Amino acid sequence: MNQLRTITRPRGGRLALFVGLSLAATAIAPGPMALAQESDPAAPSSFAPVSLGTADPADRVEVNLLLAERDPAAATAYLTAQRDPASPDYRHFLTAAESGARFGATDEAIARVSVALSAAGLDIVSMPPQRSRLVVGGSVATVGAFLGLAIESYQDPRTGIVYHATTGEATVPAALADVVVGVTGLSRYLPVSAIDPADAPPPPARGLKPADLAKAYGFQSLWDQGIDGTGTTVAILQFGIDTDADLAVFDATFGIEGPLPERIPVSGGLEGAPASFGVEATLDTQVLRAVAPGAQILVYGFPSTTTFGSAMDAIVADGRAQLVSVSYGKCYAPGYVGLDEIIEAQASLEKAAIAGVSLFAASGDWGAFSCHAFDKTDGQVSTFFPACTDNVVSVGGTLLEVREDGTYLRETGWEDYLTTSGTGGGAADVNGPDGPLEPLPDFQKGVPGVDQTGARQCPDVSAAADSDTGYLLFYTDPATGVAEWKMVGGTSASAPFWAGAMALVQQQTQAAGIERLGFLTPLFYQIAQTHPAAFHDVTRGGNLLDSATPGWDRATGLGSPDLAVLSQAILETLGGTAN
Amino acid sequence: MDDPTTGDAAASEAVSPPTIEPPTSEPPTSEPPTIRCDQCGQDVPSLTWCVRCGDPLGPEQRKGRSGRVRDAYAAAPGERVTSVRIVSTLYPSLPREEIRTFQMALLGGTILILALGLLGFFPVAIVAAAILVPLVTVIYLYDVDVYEDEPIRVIALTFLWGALVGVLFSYALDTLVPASAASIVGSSVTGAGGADFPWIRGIVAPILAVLLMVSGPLVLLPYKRFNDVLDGATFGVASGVAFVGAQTFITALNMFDSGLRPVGDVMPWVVRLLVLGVAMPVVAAGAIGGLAGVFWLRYRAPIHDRAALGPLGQPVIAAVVAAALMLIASLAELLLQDVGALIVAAVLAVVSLLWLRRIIHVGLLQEADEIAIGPAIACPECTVETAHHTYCGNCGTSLKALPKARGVTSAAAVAGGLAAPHQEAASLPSSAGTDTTAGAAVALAADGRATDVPSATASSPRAIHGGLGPRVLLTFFAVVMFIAVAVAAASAFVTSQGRDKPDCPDRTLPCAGSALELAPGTLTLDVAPAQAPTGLPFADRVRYQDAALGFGLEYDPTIWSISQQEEGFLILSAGNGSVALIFEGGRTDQFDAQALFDARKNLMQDRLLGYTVDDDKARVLLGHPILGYRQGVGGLFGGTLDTSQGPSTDFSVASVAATDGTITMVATMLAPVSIREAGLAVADSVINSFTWPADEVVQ
Repeated sequence: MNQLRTITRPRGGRLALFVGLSLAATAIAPGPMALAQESDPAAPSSFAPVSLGTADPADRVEVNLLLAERDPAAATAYLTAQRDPASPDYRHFLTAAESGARFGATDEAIARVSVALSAAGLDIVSMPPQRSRLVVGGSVATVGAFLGLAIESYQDPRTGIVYHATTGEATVPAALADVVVGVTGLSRYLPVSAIDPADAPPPPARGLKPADLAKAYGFQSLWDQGIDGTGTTVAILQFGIDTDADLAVFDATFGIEGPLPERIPVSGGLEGAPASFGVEATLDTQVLRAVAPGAQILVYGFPSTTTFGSAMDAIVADGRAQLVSVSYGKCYAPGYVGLDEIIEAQASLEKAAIAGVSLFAASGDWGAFSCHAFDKTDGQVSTFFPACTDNVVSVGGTLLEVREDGTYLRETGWEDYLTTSGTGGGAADVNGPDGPLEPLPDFQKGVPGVDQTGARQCPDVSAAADSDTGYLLFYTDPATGVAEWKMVGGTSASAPFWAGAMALVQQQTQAAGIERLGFLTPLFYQIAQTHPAAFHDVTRGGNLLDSATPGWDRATGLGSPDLAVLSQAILETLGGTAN
Repeated sequence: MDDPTTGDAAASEAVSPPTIEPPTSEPPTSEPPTIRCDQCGQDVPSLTWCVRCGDPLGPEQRKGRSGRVRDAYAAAPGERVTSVRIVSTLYPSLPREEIRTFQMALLGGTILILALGLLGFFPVAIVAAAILVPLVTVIYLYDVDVYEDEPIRVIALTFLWGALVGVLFSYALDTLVPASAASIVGSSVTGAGGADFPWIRGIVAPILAVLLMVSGPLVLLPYKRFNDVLDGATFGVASGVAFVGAQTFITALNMFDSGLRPVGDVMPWVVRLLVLGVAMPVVAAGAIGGLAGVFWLRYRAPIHDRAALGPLGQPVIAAVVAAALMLIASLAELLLQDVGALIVAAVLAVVSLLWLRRIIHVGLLQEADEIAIGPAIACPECTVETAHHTYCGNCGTSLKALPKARGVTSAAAVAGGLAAPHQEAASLPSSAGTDTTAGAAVALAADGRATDVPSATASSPRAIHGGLGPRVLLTFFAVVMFIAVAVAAASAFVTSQGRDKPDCPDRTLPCAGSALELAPGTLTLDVAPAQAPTGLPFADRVRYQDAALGFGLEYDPTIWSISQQEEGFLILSAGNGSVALIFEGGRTDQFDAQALFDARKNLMQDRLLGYTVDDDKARVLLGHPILGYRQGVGGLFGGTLDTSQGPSTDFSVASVAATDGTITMVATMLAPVSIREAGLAVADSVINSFTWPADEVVQ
């Protein structure tokens, strides 16, 4: 189902009958069991949207029209040249506007589309500097007519929010077929929480604190040198809400200080974001803070209907962050993510890489079976999107063990067989009409452990993610007002961990005169060869299907960082001078 | 409590020795021919059956036999007293033409239970099993209108009492002896350890249940108007079936968490449903009905010879017998497998039925001796006139066993103003005052056959009982069963909703990782900053090391505790014992992983009802099974905790077996389905901490 942008308005009431019956059922459940205390008896059976019928033709909706690049091969060629030390474009990063002027849609194409839109009664809301899309708006009737869609109203059963969606396939007038390559931005659902209290086991009184991370991953020495991310900026692509108040408690508790996060709403921001996403948002911010407390955090808040491509375009267009963390994704398989969305994200991430922006994406928490997260009856081997696309840093997860002095002992590829949870990883074997959508990227060619006949394989790197070795965070539940420490795991934690870790490195490189780190994934593969000690090679555990092995593997990638070594290796590789 | 004699002004004094006053009416002016009965030795009207003892007098009924031939069941002369008949035993006052209706209801209900069981709708089937016999009993009480004058008191102290104490008793047991995973484990696959015997549920509960079941009916013992053995037996039956039904129902409520079709092998379930739906209600009805009947026989029945039942007529011995019946049924369920338990339950049901039947039979015969032959009346069963005593001389029906129906007086008046002798004197002043002349209008033919039967009575014998008729009875039964099954199905469906839902329910939307969040209560703050937690992040786990096999593991003591440990065998329990995690094994030269895995599966088959592989695609365990990060064999299973009180909680069982080349181990997690995900999650943590003797030591 495609979802169309809509003017949302909350409506009260969830499925009261289900709630009532569930509560009644709870009342007749067996006697007290501590493990059942965190269950949610009111949880609805399904979060499937409820159709309310044909939408009011006068309602306003907005969609993205993806514009054809003026020369699709040019951007790829430039990216290759950017990584080639022999090329004059080596490490020559382009801003979003520069990228748009060089690779984006032509003025002629935009003009043609604009004329057609105007004739159809639609208006152009915005165009990012990458010139990759037009955000257009209009009434349900006009947008539906223009795209050949029947637009309906739907209600999110969790929140009561009403939105517009369609089950049809969008088409554009034939005259625009060469300049409009897809239609996205259609999702108007609110984010779906993956954090189900009913799944949470009772709490152990433990968890990774900032100092634990610094000792285990070797950046205590960087901290001691005053390298705490100061002067760097890290973006979080966010669909949930966290609060400065909780961060203040976190800071005060661990004696760390840093600038308040800057919260940047995009396309309506986080209005209407479900409270259940609060823990996820808090995890992103506080893990990042725990590693790089001095970094300026930019929280870009999007409605969850925003596509990854358009979200990244917005962040890159803002031009302030070289490091971006995202903990959200979809199953990278047909039926879970649309072809247009993939193409959009690939184009967007390519421009991000050209701009020298690295997206650290969580590789998923369901091992080699990411689709299982969305459909429990789906046991197909699958990866996570966008974590297993080209031009991202795919971040997997481990179980961390430390010595008695807190230093690193070993890690194990995170896999929990009984709960089908573990680090996401595998090959993005997804085909489009023209063949594989994710061919093996250059940086994985020739890498031992990578199937050279296969597609893009992930993850690239990893860090602690098993909930048994979860991160401590402080969170206030807006629904209940309960404020408490939580221990949270998942690759949702390891992704911001890596973004924070690279903020420390960026501070070092900036001090060494290197302004931009650039897209880091190729660099990591390079350093793994030249400075193998920069990574803790994980050789135990797996991803439920593939085992962690010496060298790169589908469970933990290159491994986790020994940041003291990795930062020096990056400095050396980029030609900077270590402090 | 009201004065037990309230409502009976003529007998307002305390319990008095039972006396039966013969009808005050004059005998018929013209005496019918009489004959000496071989059974009771009395001169009785020369009819087809002896009106005093029901012995066959007619040549066809005697079938050529001579002397004492009476072996017909006193409440239903067409049946032998030693025959095993459920309906005429549990419902002795039932009119003969309705026996088949009740048999059809019981048969239909049993077929429904079996069909639901065969289709795998176990929670619904068990609800049907729980209500089948109680529902038929309620219909019986209403239909025959036995206690029309005091229905509330009788129903409250028999059926409702049984149901109420059954509910309370079951809840108390659930609280006192909650479903414990550790208790299911039994011994290890190598024979180590073993579960404690479930004394409370297996021994104490059945005995206590007998006391509870019979205590309600005993409250009615002092009431003079309930002075027949048949009263006591009926009260006991009602209380017994209601108790067992309520107990089965309440115990089974825990199953509703699992949805309409929980994991389970069908055949063991079908056998168990037969026990619960048919055998156990009959055992309880026989045991409690018999026990109550003995009390009545001993203290209330208007008889002279109270030793007719021998030692079994002693209330104390009868109580022991009743308790023994319930206890053996309980032990059979605990100690025997499916068919064995069914056979024992069936035997117990037969014994119970025969015991109850015997008590009813003896009671009716003894009471017959107390009464003098009265005037002619119309038999409420066949409508043909007969002499006023215990049995109809024409159809052999026990008039004592017929309902104390409101219709008797008026109908009797239609038939000549006479009433069955079973009616109490206090309720018969009008008919007793009119039967002299009316009786004179009724003539018995010399051959003992009625020659003049009022047409109104003859055409509608059911009018005498005020009964419902077979169609109405069966329709009512079917409707109630349907409603019960439908409500149970809807409840099971609704209750199980939300289980097995994916982390990210909408595939079209972005989703974050399944970041498992843990809320350590010891670290809870209000709003103010706290001191930073100190120490190693994960140093609070307890290390367990097995000396014999050399394996080790870590567990969180805030979640787990050791419930049993021997060399090579460890049981951890969590959630107040509701979750168990077993580690067991031996040396690799003794076991391979598959053999250990299969051994544990076989053990669990003996411990959980319907234990079988959980092949639901939404729950299948994906990827390679690991124990201590060594790959092996594994799988998910399901079954139901079965107690003496009935199937209780559905359990999920996950097993993983592996070897390091020196030892082979199997780890097994048991958790109620309702907390399966939490159980699996905390078990995963321990299983992943497992270390093998051959593991490389990381410094």
